[in-house]
Parts: sequence; structure tokens; C-alpha cells
Amino acid sequence: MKYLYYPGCSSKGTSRAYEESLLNICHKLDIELEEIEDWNCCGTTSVIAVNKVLSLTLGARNLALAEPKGNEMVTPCPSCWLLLAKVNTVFHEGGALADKVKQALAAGGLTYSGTVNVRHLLDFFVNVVGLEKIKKAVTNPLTGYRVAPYYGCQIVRPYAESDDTYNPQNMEKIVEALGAQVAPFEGKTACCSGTMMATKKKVGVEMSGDILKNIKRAMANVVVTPCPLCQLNLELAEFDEKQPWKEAELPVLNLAQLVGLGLGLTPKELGFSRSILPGVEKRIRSARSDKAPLETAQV
Amino acid sequence: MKKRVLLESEQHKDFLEEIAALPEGERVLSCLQCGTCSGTCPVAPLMDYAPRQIFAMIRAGMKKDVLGSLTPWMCSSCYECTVKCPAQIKITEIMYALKRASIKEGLMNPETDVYRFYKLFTEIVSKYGRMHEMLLLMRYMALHHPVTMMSQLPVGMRMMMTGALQVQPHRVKNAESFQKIVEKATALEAQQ
Amino acid sequence: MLPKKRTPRIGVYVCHCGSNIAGKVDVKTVTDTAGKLSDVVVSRDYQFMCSEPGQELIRQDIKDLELDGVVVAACSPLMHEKTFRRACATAGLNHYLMQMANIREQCSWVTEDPAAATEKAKVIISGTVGWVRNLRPLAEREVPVVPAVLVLGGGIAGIQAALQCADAGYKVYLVERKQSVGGHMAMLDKTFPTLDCSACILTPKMVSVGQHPNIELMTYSEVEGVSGYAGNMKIKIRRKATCVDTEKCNGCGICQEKCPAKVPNEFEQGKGERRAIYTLFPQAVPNTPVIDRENCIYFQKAKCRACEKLCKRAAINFEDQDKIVEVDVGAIILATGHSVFDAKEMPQYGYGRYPDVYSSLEFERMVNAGGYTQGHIKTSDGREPETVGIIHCVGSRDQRYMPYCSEVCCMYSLKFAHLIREHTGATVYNFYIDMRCVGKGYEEFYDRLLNENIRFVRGKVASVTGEPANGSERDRLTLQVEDTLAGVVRKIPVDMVILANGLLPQKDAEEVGRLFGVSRNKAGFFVEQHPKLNPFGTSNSCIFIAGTCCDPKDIPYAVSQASAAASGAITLLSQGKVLVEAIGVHANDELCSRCLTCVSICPYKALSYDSELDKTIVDETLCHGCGTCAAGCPAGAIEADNFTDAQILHEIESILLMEKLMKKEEEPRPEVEEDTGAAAGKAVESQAEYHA
Repeated sequence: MKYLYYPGCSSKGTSRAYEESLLNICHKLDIELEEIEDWNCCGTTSVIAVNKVLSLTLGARNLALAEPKGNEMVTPCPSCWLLLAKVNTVFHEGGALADKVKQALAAGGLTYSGTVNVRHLLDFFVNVVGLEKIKKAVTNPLTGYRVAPYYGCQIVRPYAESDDTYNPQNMEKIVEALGAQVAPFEGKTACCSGTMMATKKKVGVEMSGDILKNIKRAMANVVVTPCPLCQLNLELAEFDEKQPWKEAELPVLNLAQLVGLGLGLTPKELGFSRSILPGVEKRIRSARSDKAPLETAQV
Repeated sequence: MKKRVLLESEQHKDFLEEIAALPEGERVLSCLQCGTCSGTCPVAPLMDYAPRQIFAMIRAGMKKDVLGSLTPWMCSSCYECTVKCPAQIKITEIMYALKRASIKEGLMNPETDVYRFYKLFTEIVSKYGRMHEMLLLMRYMALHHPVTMMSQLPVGMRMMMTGALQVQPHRVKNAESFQKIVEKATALEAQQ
Repeated sequence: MLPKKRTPRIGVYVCHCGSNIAGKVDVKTVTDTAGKLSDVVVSRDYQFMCSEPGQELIRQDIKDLELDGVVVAACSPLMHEKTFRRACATAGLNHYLMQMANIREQCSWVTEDPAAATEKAKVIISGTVGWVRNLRPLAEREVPVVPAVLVLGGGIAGIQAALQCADAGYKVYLVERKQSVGGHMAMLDKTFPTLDCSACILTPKMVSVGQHPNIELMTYSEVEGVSGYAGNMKIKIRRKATCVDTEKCNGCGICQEKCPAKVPNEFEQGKGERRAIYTLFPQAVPNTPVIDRENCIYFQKAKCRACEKLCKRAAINFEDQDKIVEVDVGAIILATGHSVFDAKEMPQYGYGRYPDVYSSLEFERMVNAGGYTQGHIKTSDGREPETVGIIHCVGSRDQRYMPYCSEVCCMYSLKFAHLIREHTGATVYNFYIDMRCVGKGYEEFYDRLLNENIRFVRGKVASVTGEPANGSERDRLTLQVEDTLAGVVRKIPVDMVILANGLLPQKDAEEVGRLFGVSRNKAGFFVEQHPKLNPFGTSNSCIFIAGTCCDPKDIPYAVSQASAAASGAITLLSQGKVLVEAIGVHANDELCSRCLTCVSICPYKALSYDSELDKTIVDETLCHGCGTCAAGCPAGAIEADNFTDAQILHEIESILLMEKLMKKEEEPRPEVEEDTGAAAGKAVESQAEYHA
């Protein structure tokens, strides 16, 4: 299978482990990801706050570059995905805003006609690759792991695509397909604080910290999230500034890392060492033999 | 908000119509002031005015107070409000519009410099085509929040060790064409 | 063949309608111009033609000037056609020879430029004069009316309507889908604002309905077919098999007690159980049980039959079959009631997820002494709640579900608050957006509640979670809401949440509407004939609506509307006859090619092809004169009275002539040109043929 791939800025930076894991998974599953040549930052969140036309144009440039190559594209970051989906909505609705974006693209010699369908990775795994294929490829069933599926906001709001806005289930399906147990917890679509971890650290730590509290209450021993920023924020909330060498108690994995783990990829291939939290590899190894909690997880 | 008796002559009479005329402003006139948005907003307690109150103030024509409030800057665009609003108002998109309008009119609330982060991000992306996280953090933290940056040193060290923070920027190769696109987009935005 | 008509004598009356017309249209010029048209012998203008003096002008002219055609240039016929028709009829002129030229809704109200409006008015009047020139007198037909009424639905509205019609001496067929009458009101505990016990005030009426000599009560029945025409309708009713002989059963209840098959009780909203043989509730009318075949062990597995063995009256009959009954009625009253919003569609409130989030009806049954907790207010684990939160507007006033307000929820939420305080002394929070207490005694009820120390919070609850508000409240629910009046976001722990679910149309409202030919609005409720002046009638003069099937309402309004509907039906029936619209259609045998297009497109099934006679037949009683057949006939063989091709063509010619004249700015004294005269003559002749 061949698929167009839009990495997004974090895949080459703070979330390198996400891309590394994803590429290794694709290698195993015989999927060829074709990276969009000369892609640019999608222009989400921060740019929308400053210049709306620019944000949509930046996103549209990537779609314009992709369109001659094909109509199906996948991106790991839900925020990139949401921006690209918004671009498509603007193009389909037509009107003044779409015209402006088209004009801007034309200034650089590019055109886009709105035909590239973008999926985020969760959608890709469940609806393109398929749970059956993933299940069959599992060589390291994740028995013993109690995985808390944390979705974050942009992947279910305002568009939920193939999942439910209030109670999405796609990640639960993947966790079970990998042989792990789901640890359901309250607030799996709550906001991690987004960029506020950088601009208002205290608030970021509190919001992400609340999510971790709920996850711990559910007695999970691993967290999985499809969003690179959510992964970073949860880790930063767990990170102890006073004891920066302290080993991770609750590892936070991104979606590709969890799937890759089930598919038998090595810690190196999964980039565990790239985590902000020390000792993720060690904890992942030990977590599978954690004693089962006395009560079943409370919701 | 300065405590005062609000005189109609001081208010920006068409502020509500201006917001309603934006593409994001569809249905803003149908706001019931039910408070679901404020109730569900995870950061409402950080705001000087909760989202619902901002809409009440928009109705009252309090343009300066609205654009000068903390509210749009505290919004993390989690879209909870948009999904739960019974009038289906695009609240999050309106918050973005308020951010842009606040910057345009230079009314940003002095208690926060989140706008600086957004502007820096936009500048970097406009120049290189891709985000340069190291550069963003340095220019934002080192210049404006040096004390915080010092306290974040352990995290920063860790991030450098794991390769999360890259020193070299990535750039878009077709720089010329890219620049033209950015310039045109910026010019078109200014046009509205 | 009728003699050729003499030269027409037409009167034109131009109404100022205050400034509605005169403010835009130059009525003097228009009257002048109209007066110069061929065959117009008098042209007047007046301030308000619909007033008594205005009408007198017309009546006097008809007598003095021997008018045989009248054009009233004024508002829309929907407003005053009846008025002017009556005026003409009293003066001795056939009222179908009066037509209105709409120079208000279609002219002065929609044209910006006064000069353009004046021109348009001239043209419209000229056209109408052209039409009136060729009209033939028509008369409504009278058909007898069957002195019986069908009331569909046995809730409070249906019961009220049935009793009123029955007391007036008419036969009533009351058809109710469930096995007992009572509807939603039978589920309620107390009714606001008097806190009357619902069953106490309802059951006497239910008993009356069951015992009234004029009411044939058909419960456990549904209407399957409606045919016929206004005043004479045939209703096909399916009486479902109850498997219990109502003549023999004495309601002793032993079958229900001993039946081994247990089923979730729908009357108790799924909480609590009933048996496979059951009555709906203790005061049911009729009080005989029915066997629910889908859950009966005998019907499913051919075992048991315990009820049959235990019944001392041998009333159980497993061989019972559905019966089809046909009745004739003259009027129909639809009182089919409503359904309730399913709060599972709003997942943020946790309904269906947390056991202590209750819908309004679930709570109503809980607090009712006959309900699944025998009237004790308690949480799912048996404790009395210390704090309760009541959320208003669940589903209502919401673009995603019901944009309208469900009218009764604020009041019943207040009622719940009062009952909870009274029974348990718990702290009660009511979360509302607006407090809607419109009605007699309602605002006073709100004041009473304010004084009972209910915590009113103006704010729509954003979420209900099991997440504790502070670390220690493990098993409680937390409501997060903005207290908009105090200006703070609050997190409130409660033991129990009650939702004020909004009201929706019945799930099969579409089918019922189609069956009876009643239209529905966007929300799915039945549409009334006029929202202000006829909220209980429909576009069909013999079908009336009452109760929550047309929109959410409280009991006094439902009862009033039911009586209004009953009085509408009684008025109709008391005449003994009903007037059928005079405008009908006529088929020209010679032109008809027997393609049967008309038969298939007639919305009222009034046309049929008689193969023996080889003729297309029009059933005059079913025909509404809509003209669809006339438009659809490829041969032009069907024409509608006073809307024949020739008549319409002449109207068009008169319009074009006036426009031509205005362009030429000539003296508007058109001689009837050759072709128009010929067309007029032809129109007259063809009409004459039909009436021969």
C-alpha cells in the first residue's frame, strides 16, 4: 500500500520518536509512506491567532503539493489534520476566503482544487490499515498492560470523523487489538492545555496534571495518545523538575509507539529514549508484570 | 473593566454587527446567554471574563473591554464550547477572530504576553517555512521570561539530550515561491 | 344551449386600506383608469372596502346598476374573500361572480416605487376584470354529514374532546393505541401549580369515558385506513387481539400476579417490572389485562398457560385474533400526544451512563406512590439523596435537537423541586436559562419555590461527571456550570440529577399525518389552520387537532384546545350538512384520450376511469377544485370551473392590453378587439356546453 504522508513540524523535532516509530511500523506492514516534498508548517493554532488567510494558505500549500501525487494523505498530528480539514472545508464551501487562499497560492505558482482527503493516524490505523491486519501482525501481545487511551481535543472536536465526539472508541479498539487491557478514565477528551505549557507553565501543568490524576485513579500503567503535543505535555506534567533523573512511573506513549510495541519493534526503533521522562524503556518492560489492581478501574 | 456607568455614547454601537458579519460570526445573534460555554471551558477560571460574558459584552458594544480582556489569550482552542453550544455558535473561531482583532488594534491585555508567542511562531514559520522550536523557545523565553527559563533548565537539558530540540533549522527549499505566497497571504489578510 | 350572455356590467371597487394601499398606489388614478375599461359601468374607491359602509357601496350598486360582476381591488382573498362574497350574495349576486384583485400583498406591499406600484395595480385590475367578464355563476353543493366523531388518542385531550362530543349527543369512537386511556397524564404524580394528584383528577374522566353511552371506547386499537370525503369518512380500525375476553374478565388480577414471565415495565420507564399479562396501571380503563405476545411464554415457547388455568372466569383466550372494524364518521379529532426527548443524545449529561441521572418521566414515576419505588425518593443504591440537581432545557432551545421551548419543563422542574424538599428535605438546585412561568398561578408558584429555599442557578449545566469536585466525594456526581448571575463557574456535587427532557412529536406522527392528510411543521408537529385564530382546526374542515400533537403545552391549554376541537366538530355535525367547494372540474369526452394521467395525479383520488362506460368520472364530493388534473391533461380535456383555458387566456390578454396602452400613453379606452371578443365569446360558449 502506498500513501501520501504529511509529517508536520513536531515529527522532525520534539516528536521525532513518533515519526521514527511510524516509519518502522509501515516498514513492517509493507506500507509505503511518500513524504510530501518540500512541505511546510501547516500554520495551525498560533498562526490562526495572528493571520487567518496565512494560516489557511500555509496548510493549502501542502495540499497543493500533494494533489498531483494523489488524493489520500495521512498525518500523525491531530492539530495539523484539523487545520488541513478546515482548508478542505473552506475550499468546498467556496466564497471570498477560498478565493483569497487561491490567490495567495497562485502568487507562488501553485493551485489546489480541494481533492486531497486527509486522515489522522488513528483514522488511518482503524479504517485504512484495518484492525484485522494489525491484529495479525502482533508478535508481542501487550498482556499485562493497562492502557489509558487519552484522545485530547483536536481529534474529536469540532470534527469527530469516524468516531464519537463525546465517547470516542477508536483507540480502545486498537489497544484491545494489540492484546492489552483498556483502563477507562474520566476526561479522556479533556484539553491538555496546548501551547499554554510554554506560555503559562503553571496552567499547563495543572491541566495536564488533572488528566494524569484521573488516569492514575483508573490504575493504568501506560498512557497512549495520538497527539504529539499531548504526549509532551503529559510528560512535562509528570516530569519532576527537582529530580530530573527520576524514572518514569507512568510512561506516556504516542499511538505509533504503542502499536509498534505490539508489532514487536525494539525500544530503539520506538525511540523510547527520546522521551522527556527518563527510564521509559525500563518501565515499559516492567509494567507488563504489574500486579492486577484489587478493584476494577473506577470510571 | 473599569467600574463605571456604561453610556451608550461611549460604546462601539456596531461591534455586535461586526462580529455577526464575520464568517465565524454566524448565529452569534442567537446567543441565549445560557452559560454552557463558560461552564465547560477548562480555562474559564483563568479568564477575567468567562466566554459567555464576553458575548454579553459584545452585545453591549464594549469593544475596548472585549479586545483588551484576557479571555481570548487564555483560550486553548479545545472546542468544548463550540461542540456544546445550543445555538451552535462557532465560539472558538470567534475567539481566534478576537485574538487577531486585538493584535490589529494593539489592545492586548498587559497581564499576558501570549500574543508574543503567537507572533514569534508566525514570524519563524513565515521565514523558514517550518517551525524551529529551539529558536522559538530562545526568542520567547530568553528575551521575555528569563527567570522562568532558568527554572526550566532541567527540562531544556533533557530535551537537548534526547534530540528533541534541534539546533539547525529546517527550511523549505522553494524559498522564493514560498515567500511570494506568504507575502500575498499577508497582504490579503490586511485587506479585510 | 344557454343564450349568449348580454354585455357584462362590472363594478370595480378600489380599496385604500388606510395607507396600506393608498400610501403607495395612486388610488384615484387607478379607479379612473378602471372606470374606462370595457364593460365597467362603475368604478369607485373607498378608505376601507371591508367596512360596513364599504360593503354597502357594493350592495347598493348591485341593486341600482344591475351589476353582474364585481371586482374588489384590495387585499388578499385569504383575508376578505368571504366578506365580499357575503356582501354580493345578500344583494342577490352569485358570489362566484365576485373576484378580488390583490393590489396589496402582491402590489403596494412589495413594490418600492409608487409609480411602478400604480402601474402594476392598473394591470392587475385589468386582468381581473378580464377574468370576471367571463365567469359563470356557481353554487356550493351540500352533502349530508355523518353524526359521529372519531377521536384518535386517549390522553387528557382525547378524553376531554370525546366527553364533550358525547355529551352533546353525538356518537364518539375513541381509539387509543395502548390498552388503557390516560396517556402521559396518568403517569404523573402531582400537577402544577395546584399540586393536585394527577390520577385523582384524571381517573373520574377516564371512568366517564369508559361508561358513557355515546362513547365506543376502542383501546389497544389503531387506525389503518381513512377514506371518503369531508363529512363522510370511513375509518378502518384494527382492534388488536388482547387474548382476554373483556365480557368475562372481572379484573381480579390473579393472572398478573402469577404470570412467571417478567418484563421491564414501560409505564415505569423501564424501571420496575410487569408480567407478560398485564394492565397498564391500577386505575386503567378498561381494567382488563392484555397478553404481550412477544414476552408470553406460551406464545414464544408453547408452554405455561398459567393464567388460563388460574382464571376463575375462563376469560383467557389464546386463539384471539386481531379484528378489523369499519366505522363512518363526519368529523375527526386528532389527539395523539407527544413523545419525550431521549437524553442519551446529550452524552455530557451522563444519562444512561450514571445510574443516578434520571429523565423527567423516570422521576415522575419514582415520586408517584404507585411507582417503582412506591413513592420513595432514593438513589440507585437505596439511599435518600442529600443533594439533587435539576437541569432545565434538556434537548429544548437547542439547534442540534429541538430549537423550540417545550413550555412545561420549567413548571414541572419547579414541581419536582418542591416534591423533593417536601419528601426528603434535600438541598435542591434548579439550573435554568430562563424561568418560564406563564399561566394562571404559575409565577406565584415560582415565588413559593423561591421561598422554599431552592438553590436557583441561572446557567445551563455544561457537564455531569463522576469526577469528584473535591477529593473526598467518591460516589457523587459533579455538575459543572457557570452561575451566570453571580459570574462564577461552579462545581456542584450532587447525589441525584434529574433532567427536564423536552417534548417531541410522536415517533409515527409522519404516518398519522399522511393517513389523515394533515401537514406537519419542521419540528414534526401537526399544523393548525391558523396559528392565532384557528389553533384547533386543520386545512381540512372536518379534521381537528388538540393537545400535544400540535405543540408542547400544559394540561389547561390541552383541555381548552380539546374542547375547542370538540366544539368545531359539534358545529359541523349540528348543521347536518356540509358545503362542498363549488369549483369542480369537468371532463370533455370528445377530447379525452383515456390516457388516465389525471387519475394518477389527482391528490384527492377524485378521478377514476369507468371501463364499462369508457368514461373518466369525477367524484364531485372528493374533488377540491385544485386544478392539478386540468394542468396535467395533455389534451386539455379537463377544465376547472371558472378557470378554463379560455377564461385564463382572456385574463392574460387583458393584462397585456393594459400594459400596451400604458406604454403608448394613449387614452385608456380600449375597444374590445376582435380576437379578445372572440375569445370571450368562445369562453362563454364552452362554459355553456359544460352546463348543458
